[in-house]
Amino acid sequence: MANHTPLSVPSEEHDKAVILCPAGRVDGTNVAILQGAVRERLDAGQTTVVFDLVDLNYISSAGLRVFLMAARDLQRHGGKALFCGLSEQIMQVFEITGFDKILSVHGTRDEALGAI
Amino acid sequence: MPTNDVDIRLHPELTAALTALAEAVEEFADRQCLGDSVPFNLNLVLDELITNSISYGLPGIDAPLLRLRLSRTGDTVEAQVEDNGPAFDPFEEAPKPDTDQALDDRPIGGLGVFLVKQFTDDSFYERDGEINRITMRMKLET
Repeated sequence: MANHTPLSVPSEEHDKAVILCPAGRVDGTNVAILQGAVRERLDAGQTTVVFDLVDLNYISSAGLRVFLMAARDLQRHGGKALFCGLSEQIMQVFEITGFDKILSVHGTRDEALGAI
Repeated sequence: MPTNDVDIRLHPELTAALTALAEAVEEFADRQCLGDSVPFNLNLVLDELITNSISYGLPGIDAPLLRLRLSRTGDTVEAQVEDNGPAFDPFEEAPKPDTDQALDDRPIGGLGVFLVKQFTDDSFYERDGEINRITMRMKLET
């Protein structure tokens, strides 16, 4: 049984940021869900977003592009995107694409919140 | 001789194709005891190529063909994707991202094919009659 769980993007409000926790798989079929969740926060004027990826078990370049655009949009509005909870495989994807150098990547959610 | 081959036709619709891909890779990886990272990487590179075929190559083709093959010979996994879209060599024509660029300068495109090159030990394109064929090989760590 392939782990083709649908994507959900639960969120948590924190005093310094909103935390988005995409859960499942992100690929070209459902990337609009992730994009919509991010867009909703940007449109609401949120400038700091923590992406906690602890429940994300797969991402393709379609999802990476959403992260890149979100980080860029937030930076342009004086805010920041932070990432944490990456699995070994997703960390490898970030390293190979250089995302680990241009994005703010942290181990745990507490570490990400501490870096705001 | 390669063992436990996968050779399937994928329905050229993104959700159906990527679901069938994930199932095929997982079953193949289970049979071959490939661990965690090889199936993830294999799924990723095949996802990128299949998504490109369905999004750009196959629309407008009367009888679209999309085929996936997986096999293992010794410590090498070989994967092939074939489609009958117009001739297109993604390795020649895709932009190559500069991974040292700053956030603001980083182009949005070109990541998929770059991931294919990075996650495989060998990958090449060939045109065989009306067929685009991409072959990729990944060495297993022993």
